[in-house]
Amino acid sequence: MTLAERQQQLIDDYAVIEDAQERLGAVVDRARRLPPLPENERTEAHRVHSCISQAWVVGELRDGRCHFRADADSPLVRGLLALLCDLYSGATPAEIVAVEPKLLDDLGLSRSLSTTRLNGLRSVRARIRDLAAAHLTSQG
Amino acid sequence: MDRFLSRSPVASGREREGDENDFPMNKAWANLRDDFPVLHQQVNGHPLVYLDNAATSHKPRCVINALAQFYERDNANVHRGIHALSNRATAAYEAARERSARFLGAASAHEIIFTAGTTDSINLVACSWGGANLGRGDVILLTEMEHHSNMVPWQLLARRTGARLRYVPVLGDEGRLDLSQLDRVLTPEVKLFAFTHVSNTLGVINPITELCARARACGAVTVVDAAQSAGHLPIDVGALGCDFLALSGHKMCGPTGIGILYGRQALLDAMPPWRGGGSMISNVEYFESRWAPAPQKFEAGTPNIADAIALGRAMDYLDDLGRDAIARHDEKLATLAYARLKAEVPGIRLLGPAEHRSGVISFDLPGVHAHDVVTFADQEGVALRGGHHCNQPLMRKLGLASTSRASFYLYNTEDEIERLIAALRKIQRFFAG
Repeated sequence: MTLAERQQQLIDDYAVIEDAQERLGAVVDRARRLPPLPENERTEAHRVHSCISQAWVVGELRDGRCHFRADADSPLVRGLLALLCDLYSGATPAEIVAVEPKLLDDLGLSRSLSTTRLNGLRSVRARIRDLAAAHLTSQG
Repeated sequence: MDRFLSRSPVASGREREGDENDFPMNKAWANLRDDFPVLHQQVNGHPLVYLDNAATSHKPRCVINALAQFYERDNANVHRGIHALSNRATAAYEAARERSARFLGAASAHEIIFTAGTTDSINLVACSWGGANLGRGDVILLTEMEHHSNMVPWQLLARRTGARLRYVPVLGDEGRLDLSQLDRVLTPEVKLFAFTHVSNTLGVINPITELCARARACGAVTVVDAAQSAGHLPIDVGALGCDFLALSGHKMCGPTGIGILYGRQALLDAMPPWRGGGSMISNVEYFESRWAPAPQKFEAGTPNIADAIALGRAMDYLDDLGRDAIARHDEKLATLAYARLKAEVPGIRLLGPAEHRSGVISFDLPGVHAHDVVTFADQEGVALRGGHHCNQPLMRKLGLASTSRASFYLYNTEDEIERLIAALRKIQRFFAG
């Protein structure tokens, strides 16, 4: 499955929930199933700035594919990060660099989030892209 | 029960004996919410409950009309024009200055400087008075509850001049100043004492008349941050005995981008200008200039004419309601909200005093991030604010990263407290699930 197909599948999965608040609720539920990052990974190096909540993203390359783990001090942000990890983990660096996370807009989640939070999520997307791009360079 | 609050069906069920006489209202309070067009809308499918008044207040129609009328009928630059429109604009702008002087109890309109807001006003004092009067070894005294806008300008000034900062401590969650420490920190090295009238996070009302008297006895100049109190509480700078007082128009039913610095005439006369440009001079040569007297000395460039005029209209509106009545309305709602939140929202941690407070209530719901509280409350049509509220050092002292904040103003009702509590309980159930 390509990254674009996985994104569409995630959108379809969440779009079943019609009520905007229940959809946000599902995102928070997803956060509950996201394993917390251990203390030794909640470091300044992994921290994503410009998030008003504290947020961390860790990426690694296995067998040519990127895998991401994340954490945040807000359950809602944790859920959104989990969504981004679900989207991008297992994809190739080239795909990750190319595909933007349109699921936040398509699912109407962006409408429920403040501008500062959306900026924070943009920073998370940028971090994920940078981590993937670094592997692209090292592979190339 | 007063007429305004009792229009709420919830409120009428909670009437207490004796309330009929403790809230004298005048005609201006009848149908008051109709004066605010923005309140009448649905947000996320619910009628808007606006509880973010500490960030900015809404504008009554008369203020919006004042802006429109200026631009539609009188728009011209002020002071040096000769034509009819310029004369009208100048008259209206200077009338707003006179109005502001009356609103604050200033000795004359010469003591009123129009600024962009409280932050701008405080920076003016820091740059002009502070630059001319502070040096190494001097102390700037602040309190631990100051908004960043009444902290950072003084940090910059201290860095420029070699002066030191010192703080009056805040006592725990209730947030009162530890006045037992005042003698220890208010020493003869203190040249300036800047403090907020009302805390934007704690809702505590500081005893500013006492603070001004103590500072005066010590020879320190006083700066009152009235961002959260002007338009909420009666203020008379003469009775207060302060040297400077700063306020923002947008938090008191006026437009954004306009504020006031009140300064005692003798101090303003002795202060150098801080921004150069047109309007602030009496004579300009190629290599030197002479300044106009205050307040023009501090208003370089074309001022914010329309917003100053509309701020004057906001002052009329507030005084028609009566600032005593507004203060009692705020306090009544905030005291009720505090008590009900404590009783009905399990585990909630409330900041600020239970009584004798302003309309600002900050709280922490254990296990729910403040930004999530605000996001989910918004889904219920309830507008709150979450974050550090420009009080980062105070938050750290209280062991909090952020809080949620509900802040009430003259158009809020007891029904809206009901909506707030229902939203918070729903959020709690959801995050507990």
